[in-house]
Amino acid sequence: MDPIESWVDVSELRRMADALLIRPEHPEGSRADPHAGPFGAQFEGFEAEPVLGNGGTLGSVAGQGRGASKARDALASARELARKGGLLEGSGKRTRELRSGGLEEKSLSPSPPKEKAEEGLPKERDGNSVLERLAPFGGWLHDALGSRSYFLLERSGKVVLDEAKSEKLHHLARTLAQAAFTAKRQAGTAAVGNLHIKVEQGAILEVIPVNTREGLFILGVLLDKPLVPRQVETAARGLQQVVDSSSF
Amino acid sequence: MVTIAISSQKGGVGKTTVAINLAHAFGRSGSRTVLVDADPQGSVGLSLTRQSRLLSGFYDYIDDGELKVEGLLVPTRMQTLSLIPAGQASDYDLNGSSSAVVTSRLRNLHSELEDLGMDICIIDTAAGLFGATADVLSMADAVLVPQQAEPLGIRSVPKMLEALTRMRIANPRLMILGVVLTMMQELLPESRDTGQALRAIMPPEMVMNTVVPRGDVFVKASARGLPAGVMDGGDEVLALFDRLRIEIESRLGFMS
Repeated sequence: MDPIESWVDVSELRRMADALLIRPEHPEGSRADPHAGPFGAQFEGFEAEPVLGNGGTLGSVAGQGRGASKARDALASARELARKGGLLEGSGKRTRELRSGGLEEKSLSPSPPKEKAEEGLPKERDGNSVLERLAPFGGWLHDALGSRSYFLLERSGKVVLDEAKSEKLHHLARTLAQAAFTAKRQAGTAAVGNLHIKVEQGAILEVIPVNTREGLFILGVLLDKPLVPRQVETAARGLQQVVDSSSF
Repeated sequence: MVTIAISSQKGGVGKTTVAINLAHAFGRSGSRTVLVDADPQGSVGLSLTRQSRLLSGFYDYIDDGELKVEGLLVPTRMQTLSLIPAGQASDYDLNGSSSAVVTSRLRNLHSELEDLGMDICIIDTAAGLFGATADVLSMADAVLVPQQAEPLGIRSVPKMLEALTRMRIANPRLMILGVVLTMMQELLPESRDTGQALRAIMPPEMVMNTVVPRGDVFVKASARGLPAGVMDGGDEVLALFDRLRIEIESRLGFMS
């Protein structure tokens, strides 16, 4: 018999199985504190170059020659824009500021999530709002992919749901997603890929545009390490399932 | 009442055999058990007489808000075991506009069965974790996944786990009881190796210790829609499904 590894991705299978074994009554308390905002005191700035992930069946802007190049250009512009706006600092300068206490806490304060959430709420369907249906999604995302927190934006940039509580991350996600859309248009492809970027030491923001019946959403996930394409697909399908479902 | 769905991504893996014999084992243990046939092509109802096959069942209940569960229950020779056949109405489309109504009817089914004093509800679902099966899983307490101990069966495992992951989002309280290996042929290296390989790559808690072998008694029993344990030479089957029942009860926390 052929080795089983030639048929299945054993590590991925094991990870999914482990996640499924978590008891339904698994305490939420073991999750990262959603109020401990990322992009905070440990923020180091972007890594040298954002990675254009391969989105598997979701498609990707990576490797599409001109499209990928345009995406990188767009990202570089976004980065420059953010830097000019004081959003980004070089890690050396940042460290100095931290040591000298020169960083204003105000710039790191979390955004008010509720108002934003109400504002970005898609229409209700079958008595269950998207927000209600999304209630278990964060827990699942943590269990399945090891996310620290996540947020969800509409295509327009409005906040639908926010565990990360950081306007800077929203801004970053919008910028990255816009770069992906631009690359998609210029590459003439139907698919929009995911992108990820380092936001602080050991913290990655994964930005995944996801098409649903309610329209396109931008899923931002804070993780310890970037997702592999299969995990990106899992996250996107999970979100689609939740948003498209009216059955719970 | 605890509702256990017997589901798998792949067809022909022995879901109905597991469902019937497991329900029989729960009934024998004294638990008031109802076996629901949610597979329109299933054979749970094959043991019924031709006339009783015309009775209303699960799909009629979903379709008709006026129907009561009590009128659908088909008693068996065992006082603690009842059946609800698939019925006459056809399957429905999960993507149709009636999905919320379906979910509501499934909740009613659960609550009516509970009111009737049922302890265990075992639902034999159609193959694939979508459509009617997805709806059933969205309200079930636990799911048991029969998996054929044959090389081809292994290839469907990732898809099955992905589908269960999606179901877990829709129903966060859904407990994954695990995979139960079926149709095992210990004397056939390919079958035996498949079972060993599955145990090697899955967490131990994800694969039930009890293994359902391939055997003539299952073929004969399934052809008649009967628990294999009531057939001639069915003593070993009774013992086997008792072990599976105890494993499940343990995982559900009945015996902790």
